[in-house]
Amino acid sequence: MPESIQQEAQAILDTLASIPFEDCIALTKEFRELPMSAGIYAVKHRTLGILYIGKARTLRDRFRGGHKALLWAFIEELKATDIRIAFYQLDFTQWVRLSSELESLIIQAINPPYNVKIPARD
Amino acid sequence: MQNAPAINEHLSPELAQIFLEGLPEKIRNGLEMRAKTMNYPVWAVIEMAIAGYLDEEALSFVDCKPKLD
Repeated sequence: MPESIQQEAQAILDTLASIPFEDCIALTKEFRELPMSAGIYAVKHRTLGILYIGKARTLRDRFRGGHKALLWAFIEELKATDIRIAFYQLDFTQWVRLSSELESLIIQAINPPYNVKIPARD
Repeated sequence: MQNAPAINEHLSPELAQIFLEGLPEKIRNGLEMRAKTMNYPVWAVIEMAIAGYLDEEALSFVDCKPKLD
């Protein structure tokens, strides 16, 4: 894998990680604040950090249909107000070059607790 | 920078155009409008739509893992 893709993955991870919790998207029923575009997203907890990282063709739809990370958070009795979503929109060239590698690189980098089931897909 | 992709797991722009021309006008307009909104070429949006039908987690054919029963 080219080093440039790893660097780009790291840069995206840094961006997702550096967005202050208060500036992330709060959980709502419609998720209207999430864009209707492709991207990488992180489900963040106010104090626990990044719980889950994933990619989506349409960020808003990914959450509108329900998301397992939110279900697991509910099961663990985490407060909904302590969970927010950070996202990074993928432009077209990123989509072509990185769509399959980015998610796994970012997950490898920080190993979010709610991503445990992802490797089982491969 | 916005050239056709080198990897062959992507839908070719030429084939996408043939698909597009065979679709009902309403669907074609919808795909073109969506491509414009996302600032992606329409072939990329068609590819995403097909990949998504086969595997809801997939962004493209590259990472699509079709599960057909």
